[in-house]
Amino acid sequence: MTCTQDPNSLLDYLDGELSAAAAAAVTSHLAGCPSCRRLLASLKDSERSLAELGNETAPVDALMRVQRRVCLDLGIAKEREILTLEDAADFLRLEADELAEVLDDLPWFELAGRIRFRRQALLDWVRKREQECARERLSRNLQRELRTPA
Amino acid sequence: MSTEDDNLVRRYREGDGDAFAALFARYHRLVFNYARLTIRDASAAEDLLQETFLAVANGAERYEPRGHFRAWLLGICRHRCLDWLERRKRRERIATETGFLVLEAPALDSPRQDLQRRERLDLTLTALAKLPDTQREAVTFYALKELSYAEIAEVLGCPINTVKTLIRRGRLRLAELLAEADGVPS
Repeated sequence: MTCTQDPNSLLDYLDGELSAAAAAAVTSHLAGCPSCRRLLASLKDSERSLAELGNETAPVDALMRVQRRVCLDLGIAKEREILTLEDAADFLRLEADELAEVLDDLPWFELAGRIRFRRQALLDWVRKREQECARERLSRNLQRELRTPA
Repeated sequence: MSTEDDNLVRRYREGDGDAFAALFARYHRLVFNYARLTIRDASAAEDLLQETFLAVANGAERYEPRGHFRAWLLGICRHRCLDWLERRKRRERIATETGFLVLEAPALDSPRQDLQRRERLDLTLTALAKLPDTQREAVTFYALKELSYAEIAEVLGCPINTVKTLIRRGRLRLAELLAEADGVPS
């Protein structure tokens, strides 16, 4: 036999929006209807998941990064002169683990056991790196031209 | 309705940067979670959060202070999310036509979290993605638990009763889809 129970009443039942009498009627229906019991269980399950998804904690580092970028863009924050590892990674648009890989090439210093960067020193380093890359490109192009028969 | 938000917007218009920082502190989590649930890409959600707040700052002069800042803010984010989804659809179409393989972005990234729980949440996200557009949007706002029906109606541009119906239908359909995914006939 097909169940004729209105699924909306299960939602109201779950939300506690039924009168005592109507809730008792649904409870009694549920006792004899496996398909409504399954739907109610699934509703509870999806409500739990939705609540968890809606409540997930956003990654703090990402949010701080965004806040800083927005405030800088709007001119309501000043660039820091001394950067932490996370700041430096963000400054160079790298992930933290990528920064760790090239750390020894970068101009960092140690302060109270922590690694710090001077913003200007990082900028100088970026300029030098740009020049190196340009020279490498030039040299590669030159070699290619020399190899190509006239 | 929050007149406190309106005051913060007014102070920002008058040049008070702290007021904007306060608005960001108050709503960044809501905007980020909305974008993440809508586009299912945490890294892109970060960019959209940034774009949304920049748009808020640039459009603050146009905001009419009648206590609806939250709805206005999410309306801006929603448009950016829809544009992003449209661009992704285009990229995927081009990729299909040209034969290039596009890897789908991970639903949400949180490697340290319990696997089984994560799988369940991913299953819910997948089911959510199968709902018709308007139902999905309404259920997403419902999941965030922060907006009133009136605010959701303002963001979606439809009557409050329509929002209520969309949420009810969406919740029921979601439960059915999850039951089907578990191999239980609905």
